[in-house]
Amino acid sequence: MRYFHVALRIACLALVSALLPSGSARAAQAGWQEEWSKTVEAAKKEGKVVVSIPASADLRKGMEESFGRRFPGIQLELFAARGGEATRRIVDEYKAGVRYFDIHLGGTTSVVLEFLPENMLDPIEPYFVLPEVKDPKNWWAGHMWIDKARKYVYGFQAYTFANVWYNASLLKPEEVLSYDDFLNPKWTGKIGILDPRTPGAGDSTWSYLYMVKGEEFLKKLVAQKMLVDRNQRQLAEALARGKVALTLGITEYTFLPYLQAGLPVKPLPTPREGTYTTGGSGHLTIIKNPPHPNATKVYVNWLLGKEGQEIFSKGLGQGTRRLDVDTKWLKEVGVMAAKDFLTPEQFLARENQSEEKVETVRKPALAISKKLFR
Amino acid sequence: MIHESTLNTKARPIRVDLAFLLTTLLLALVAFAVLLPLGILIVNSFQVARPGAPAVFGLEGWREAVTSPGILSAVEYTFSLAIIRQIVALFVGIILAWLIARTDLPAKGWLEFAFWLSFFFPALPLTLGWILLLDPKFGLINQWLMNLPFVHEPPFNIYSFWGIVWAHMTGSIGVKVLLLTPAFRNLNAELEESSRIAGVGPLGTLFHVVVPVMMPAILVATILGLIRSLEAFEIELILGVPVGINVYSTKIYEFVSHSPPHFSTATALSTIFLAVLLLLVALQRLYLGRRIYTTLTGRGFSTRPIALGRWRYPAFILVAALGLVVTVVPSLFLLLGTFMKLFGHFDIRGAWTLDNWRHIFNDPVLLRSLWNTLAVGMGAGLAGAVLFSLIAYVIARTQVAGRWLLDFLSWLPWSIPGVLLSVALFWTFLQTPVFRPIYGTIYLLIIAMVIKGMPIGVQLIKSVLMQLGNEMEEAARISGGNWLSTYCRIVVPLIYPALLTVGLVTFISAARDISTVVLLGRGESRTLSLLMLDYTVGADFEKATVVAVMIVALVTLAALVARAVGGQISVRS
Amino acid sequence: MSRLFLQARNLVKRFGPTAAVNNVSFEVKKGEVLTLLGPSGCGKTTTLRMVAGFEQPDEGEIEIENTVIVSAAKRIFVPPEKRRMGMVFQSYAVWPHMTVFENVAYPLKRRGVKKAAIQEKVSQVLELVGLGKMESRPATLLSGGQQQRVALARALVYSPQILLLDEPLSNLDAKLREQMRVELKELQKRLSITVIFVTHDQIEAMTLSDQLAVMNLGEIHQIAPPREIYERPRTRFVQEFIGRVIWLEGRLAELAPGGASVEIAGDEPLSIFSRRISEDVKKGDDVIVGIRPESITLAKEKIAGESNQLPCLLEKRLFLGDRIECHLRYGNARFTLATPITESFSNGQKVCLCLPPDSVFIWTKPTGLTE
Repeated sequence: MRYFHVALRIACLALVSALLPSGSARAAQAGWQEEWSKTVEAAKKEGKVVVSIPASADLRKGMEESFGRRFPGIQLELFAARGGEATRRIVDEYKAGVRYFDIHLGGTTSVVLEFLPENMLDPIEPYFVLPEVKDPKNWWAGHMWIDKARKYVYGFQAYTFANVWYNASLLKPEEVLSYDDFLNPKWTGKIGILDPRTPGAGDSTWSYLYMVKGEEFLKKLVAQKMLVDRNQRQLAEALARGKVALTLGITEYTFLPYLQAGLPVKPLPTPREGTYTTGGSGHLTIIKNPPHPNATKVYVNWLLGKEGQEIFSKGLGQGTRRLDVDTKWLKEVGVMAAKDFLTPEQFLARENQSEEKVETVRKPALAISKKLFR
Repeated sequence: MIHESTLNTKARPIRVDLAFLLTTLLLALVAFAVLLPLGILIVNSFQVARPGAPAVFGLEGWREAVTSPGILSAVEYTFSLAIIRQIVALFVGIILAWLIARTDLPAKGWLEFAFWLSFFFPALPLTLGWILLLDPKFGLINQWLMNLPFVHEPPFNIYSFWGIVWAHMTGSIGVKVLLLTPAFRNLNAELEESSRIAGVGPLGTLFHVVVPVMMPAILVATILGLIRSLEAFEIELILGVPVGINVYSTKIYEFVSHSPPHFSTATALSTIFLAVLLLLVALQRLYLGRRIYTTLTGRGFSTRPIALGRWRYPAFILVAALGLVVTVVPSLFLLLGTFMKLFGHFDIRGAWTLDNWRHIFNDPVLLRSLWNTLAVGMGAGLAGAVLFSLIAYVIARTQVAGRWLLDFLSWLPWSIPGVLLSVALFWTFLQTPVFRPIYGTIYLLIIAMVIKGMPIGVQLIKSVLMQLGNEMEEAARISGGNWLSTYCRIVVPLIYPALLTVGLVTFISAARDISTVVLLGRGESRTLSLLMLDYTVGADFEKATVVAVMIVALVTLAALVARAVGGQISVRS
Repeated sequence: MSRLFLQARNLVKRFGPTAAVNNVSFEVKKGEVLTLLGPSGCGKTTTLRMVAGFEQPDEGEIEIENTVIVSAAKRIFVPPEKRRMGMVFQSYAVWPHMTVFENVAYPLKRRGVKKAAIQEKVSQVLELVGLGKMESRPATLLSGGQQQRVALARALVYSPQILLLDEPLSNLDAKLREQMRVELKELQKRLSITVIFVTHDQIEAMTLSDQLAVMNLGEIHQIAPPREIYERPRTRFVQEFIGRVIWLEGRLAELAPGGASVEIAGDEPLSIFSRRISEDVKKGDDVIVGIRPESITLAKEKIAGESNQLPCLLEKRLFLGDRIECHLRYGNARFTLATPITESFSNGQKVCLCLPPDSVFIWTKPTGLTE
């Protein structure tokens, strides 16, 4: 019995010292350095890490280049695809027992709807090694979790952006001050929306409208005969060509070449009811028992470090929460990083992407969209 | 004497067994590759639980498939679009194939080549090109015509029923020329000449003699084309969906791309489609069962071209113009697009740039993708040509009992639209332990492309074999060759152009395939078309067109090589 | 007697640099059979196809009853369907998707003939070719001979002005060929139809033709009735192609209006007299002597006082049932001769051939000939 008590006390001590970051700073420092170099060595033996990322050539290229430069012995194998396609595939492979993917990065809807029910994710914090990643002080609003359990889906971005754009030759911004103005007969057939039935900014906008305006509003909006498309570029083109006067759910990133070309596309000043806040594609998940655990650890610490966050932000034009990364430039592409403009409370009040909001807002909004669009 | 007879009885069964063995092997292979994915699809149409939840079986998917709003209009559009396209394309295609294969049309080799190429063009950039020309608001042709005093409304609208038909014409005519020209070339010229001398002009002869005699090949081309157009997808998505024209495949795509995807509904819809298709196949078999023509015999066979006389140059101009419209015009726009800052915007400042090319050439992924594309294409092309010709040979040339089943099975992959076929193959490869070791490698992509290319490949070779008379082959076997050496030394050289075509088609569809690769490929087995998809999804059309140009160039190169090699070999034999 | 029907003048057809048909002219009278005979590749089929309208001549013209149907110089070309000709092809080209009736009815149907008339005419012509009971049989179930008859019926059904036959018998087996040859001749006589017939078979040519044109290397060597061709060949090629010939070489010793003598080198040099001399030979030329074997008589010894006697060595005798084949040698020349079974020579014996001056032909020796 005595031995048991001793053992219990030692165990408790170990637990406490693990949980409290204040333990012994120096010992911890020595600890992480040793752990880090061991991890990198082990990762080199594993040889590669497989990461599913959003379909963006810029992001893929940027990551491949700088990760390759930083860790020459570890090959970064990237799988760039649309969110839904990637998660579907990862789930199927996982269920079939194929271990290929280590990490998935992307929007929350598909992660919440497909990964979480499968119980197929590893808790993320044990993968944090570098203090600059581990320390919540380096992050705006500390560590943010999307899932209710607060350990499987890590959100490393927070921002808001103009998701309603207009064609200045067809519409004056004063004409649309509230979302109610969308229902003006003048805009019948003149509003484009990124298909809200597929994950993305269209679905986010639609869900936000559901959140602030309700189902009746959505019905009236659909009665406006909107142009529904799954391709961002097509909708941007439609706005630039004046086929529609307004687009919902298209980001400035898509409009960039049109702006550079001097075409009359402009972001609509935020309507009275506000707009949603989001982490965009900046959500990290680790597939349970990843085939390359050490390389995964290396990648996670690189991604969440300064360099990784800069590349992710640049590649997609979205705002990181990392405080030491400059996000002011994003203003030029119509994106406002939360850390520059919002309080955490403001952010949380208007987000619609956490597991909780996916359940309470997105799911019903999705059901309505499937019913209304045919 | 006794010694001799024992020898005989020994020798005979061995030969029969070889054919039987081969058929069994092929059957097992094809059944495995085709029935398994299909079975998985059909089972999934009854699996109604949400992804992740334990399997629940029910009819909800079927209910949704038949009652989902807009499904009736989608079915109507699907068939009206497909049938109209087939009628137009068949009419044009037969005349083109006849002119190219049977007459003294000038430069017919190059004209055939042009239509081949048109078949291989990626649909997406091509459609963008047509939008550029025929958009009701800014289409260049519309704007130009509006300058005329008597035109007050834009005459063309690409976003319409006929717009879709038009955008499809390139591929639809291309496939007809591709399939029919080799068959027309194997037609005995005396069949036509005897009609001419009997007092019937060239056109009358074409429709009363050539077309009926060519019915097996024409029917195959029609049904293949019909199915191809039934599953057509990208063009309808771009041109139809925004104006409310949905077809069956865009509906399926819609169900699959929902989050979470409605696989049960999508697979149920696809099962219905499969049933329709089986009906078509059955009708075709019924028709062909009554009439199997052997029109090519060893002696007196003549392929002398028909002199067009004074129609020679007018016909040439017409065909060449059509060839230009379906190949050069879109590729010109494709090429133009690669140098544009903003695809389709000619009137902005700084419209032209080299940045797109610079960007692509600086991307290290380019070489890897190119290599993967070549490996997958060549692997699939080679494996396909061998496998398809064996299957076709068993079907068309042996009397083995199971051959009708083989025939039927080789058709089936066509009945599944690309989106779903890739899902089915993905599930199959994932859940079949024998495939597990190669899962994620390019060998898997090769297998997938071979399965995808099987229907067209087998049908093409089969229709050529069916026109081949028995005599030459029987003569070869009587003169001592066994079954295999007859196949290798007589049949293969005879159908060499068709084999080459099939290998090429398989190579090319592998080079431009997107839907299959996206699910089966991995970061390291990325192909050029996947790179194009990356750019398209990332809203970077200009860079996507650069990759598209590369794909077209690769395809053109492959076709040129095949043409050169094929030409040499036909001269030698 | 019968009037001129078709006239071809100076036809030339080139395929690439070589002329497949070189300056060919001929005439066909109404109701007459003209045969183009020659080895394969001689241009006979190309000539026929120019008549049919499947090939356009590069030079020359063709006239039917004084109407030009094709002329390279005048740029006239009547397409085949307007020439009112019938043609039977080598492969028969029976359309596989039709029955016998449909095949034969096709030309009438396309001409818009009334149904009842078609029925009557087709039955009539099928009866004529001996296919009376096969109307509804699918073309694919016909034997070679039946297909041939269908092709013939189809060519005759619309009463063409002229019938073109392109080796119609070559795909039949020997016995059937013989039978069809006879039937064809009778049919032609009965219908008194004009025919141009292409073949490489000299027996067919001999039996069917009124006029025979022997072609080689794109040129017509001689046009004449068959008997004249046989008896008076105008070139060495014609003599060789028609019938059997024994060839000897020699030098022209004397040339007189009535005949010439040739010195033949051999075991015993001798001189042969001939009345058939090629126009272009001169005294002292090296020449070829061609002898029709059937006019030769074989003797045991030289008959005194007779000229044109060729002493030979009988090397071997082969008994063939109805005759005996003698293998003979004179100098370096070896040849065979058939003799009646009643003769009584023996192997290794010396014999003597008697050559009637009318059956000995003298041709110039082509340069480069080494036999």
